[in-house]
Amino acid sequence: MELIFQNVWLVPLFPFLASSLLGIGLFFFPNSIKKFRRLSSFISIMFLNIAMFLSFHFFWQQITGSPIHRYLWSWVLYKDFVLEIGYLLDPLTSIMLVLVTTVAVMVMIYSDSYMFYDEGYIKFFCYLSLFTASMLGLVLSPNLIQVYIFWELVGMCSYLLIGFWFTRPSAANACQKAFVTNRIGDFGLLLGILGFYWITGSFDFQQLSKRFFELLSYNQINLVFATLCALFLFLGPVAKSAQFPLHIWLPDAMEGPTPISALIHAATMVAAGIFLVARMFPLFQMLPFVMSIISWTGAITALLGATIALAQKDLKKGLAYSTMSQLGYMMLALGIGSYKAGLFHLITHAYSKALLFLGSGSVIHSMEPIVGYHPNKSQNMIFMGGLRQYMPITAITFLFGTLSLCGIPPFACFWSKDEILVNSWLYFPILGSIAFFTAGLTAFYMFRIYFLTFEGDFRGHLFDDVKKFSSISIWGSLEFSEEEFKLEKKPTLYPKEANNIMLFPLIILTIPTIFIGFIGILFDDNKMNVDFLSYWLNLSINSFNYSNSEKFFEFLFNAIPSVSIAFVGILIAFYLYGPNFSFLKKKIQLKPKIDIVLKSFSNFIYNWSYYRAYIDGFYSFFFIKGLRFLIKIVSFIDRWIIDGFINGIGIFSFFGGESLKYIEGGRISSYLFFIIFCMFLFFLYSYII
Amino acid sequence: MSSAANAAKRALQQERTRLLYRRSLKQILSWAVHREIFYVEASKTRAAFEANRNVEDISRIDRLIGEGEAKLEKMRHPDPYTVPWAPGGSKYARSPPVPEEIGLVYDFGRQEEWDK
Repeated sequence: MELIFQNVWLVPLFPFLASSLLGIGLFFFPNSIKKFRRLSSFISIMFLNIAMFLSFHFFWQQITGSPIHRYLWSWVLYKDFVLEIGYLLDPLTSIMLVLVTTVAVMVMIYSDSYMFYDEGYIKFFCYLSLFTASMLGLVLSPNLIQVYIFWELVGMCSYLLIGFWFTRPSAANACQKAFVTNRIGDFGLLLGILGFYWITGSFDFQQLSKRFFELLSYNQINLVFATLCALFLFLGPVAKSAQFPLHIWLPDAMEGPTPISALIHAATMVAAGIFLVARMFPLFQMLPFVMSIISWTGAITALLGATIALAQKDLKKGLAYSTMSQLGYMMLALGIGSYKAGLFHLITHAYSKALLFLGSGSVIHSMEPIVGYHPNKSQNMIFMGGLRQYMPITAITFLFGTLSLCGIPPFACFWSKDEILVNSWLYFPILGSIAFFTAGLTAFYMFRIYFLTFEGDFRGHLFDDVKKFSSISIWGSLEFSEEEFKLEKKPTLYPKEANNIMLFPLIILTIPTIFIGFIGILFDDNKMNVDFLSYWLNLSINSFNYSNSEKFFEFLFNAIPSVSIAFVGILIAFYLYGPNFSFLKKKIQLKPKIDIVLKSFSNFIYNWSYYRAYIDGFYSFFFIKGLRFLIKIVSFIDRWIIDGFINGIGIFSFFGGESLKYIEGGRISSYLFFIIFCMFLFFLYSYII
Repeated sequence: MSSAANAAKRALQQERTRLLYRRSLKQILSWAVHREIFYVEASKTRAAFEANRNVEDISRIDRLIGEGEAKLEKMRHPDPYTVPWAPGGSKYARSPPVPEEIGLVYDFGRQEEWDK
């Protein structure tokens, strides 16, 4: 059995091999390998399946009492400095391995159909396998340096995949934005890592927290410096997990193909930040100020994401802001000390959000032939509606994901989100209030998305009946007769259900969306008085003694407010966007003053959503324009002052030489004149003095 | 000004005018989504250029070109139109399949027979 644990490194190796094979094939034999498209995807999926089965095996071993395994090799050895690489296998790692591999396998199977006609099909699988390998390497890392290496790798893969269709300017800008924003976080992360190495002399997670605890006990640490290092280190997860204020890249990342949004920007990469905070949890616990910052960052992110998602018209951007909000919940949970609740929500959210994104991909796939391939059309919910009758399986799976995310029992996210809500309320009522309010907003915007997409009448044929043109005249007023420009009737296309290859992952992901929440349920007859997840995770953090004294029925009773507020959100969404809302609207007549107030409020909400809470505009003005202004000033100083000084010396010596040249004219009379003139000046000076 | 310098200046002005006209047409295509509107606007642009065809004064030509370029810059489209299957287009390298509902009839040159 020890032999298999020594080969845990095989888990990231298999997808890396698949990526290498495809990459080398594309580089050296592009024309040949493009003829074996299905074989390429088969190799990727098969290798990842092997990694998945290995992950399940390690997970089973860990939860049935196998000890924590850590294998290290010396990479750099110089005097007292040792840099080790290897892997750490504990219950947290095994849970993450299972999560990443299962979601990645589903996404790869889905991608086979989604990207089938794309000319970059093989390149896509190459990048996807590389990303999966990097993510698996990250969760297996035993120390901060190895985490940093794989952290950068997943960032690079995210850049390559967001900019997959890089010829489009919006996709090229989006991948650049994601990379630069993550670089800011990575810079902070590196400073934090080096700072903690300076304090403790170690990169290893367990040694780091142990030495830090010892030094803190003997008062041998400058607490301000340690807090600063922790905050710098936290900057990495802030960027990676799209927390405020480094969240701006996540909605733009939706320019990439939808399977990428499902895997990277919903389930795995954005969870890397939560994973790192969870790994550093024993250390952060010793710094209460840092924990406070983490919790408030999470709360603000949750609320901000929810408010921006309220009036989004793009399907994927709505889900992106939803992801941002849920990541805020996870960070809030970790900040208030609810280690298990944060990780529980990570797991339940990953499956639910992956399901939602894959469902949205199915919708986009069917909308593209009808309205066009530009994201402004195929992802625009204004042109959707009534898709449930055309795509019933997609609709029902999407509904399951929506119900889960809204925190409706007995779906997965209910169990995790409710725990966060209760714990945050007990920790600090203001945080609890923010979390509760956000839960209501979540239910509203998620069902708004569902109703706009799947209920009502199909609105994609609005193009057929357009008689008024949207173009404007650029040289003056446009006069033309409508009859002259009547469009011919185009053939009418209707959305169709996705094929079986795309439906299979949707159906499989519905299972964990419904049932995975039960691993966190405390049953009364549990002798340990601890649920499964708490028991598994307790093995990962020896310094944190967790005991769950809350009973099952007490938990359900405490869940009544959160479920109620979710239902309120759903009811409001149903009234505004649900089917037959015009029927309800006729009965409910509002007073004019209230109507005006509601309209101005809704305008504010629409503007808030459209301008992304004005944060992107602020960054554009303050940082980008500010930096460009600074660059102009620096360029001016460099060109006219520094270079001007050097050029001035050159010009001075040039013209000085030219003028000196004429002094030696060879005429004695001019020499005499010069001498007499200088003598005259000398006598004049001495006379004046 | 010598005749060679004059000729060089005139050649530069012709090139600038040609580029300005071509870029104007591309801008109009971005703004005027429907073809019929494009024809109308393109005709107006052509008429505006033709009105200044016989201007001889070099400095006046330079001024007119400068005004045209300033106007073009002012009316630059934030998201210029790209042919979908060209690089930068939404369908580039995606090779989307033709929907089953649309039947492709390969009757090249036999349209007149069908019309009969």
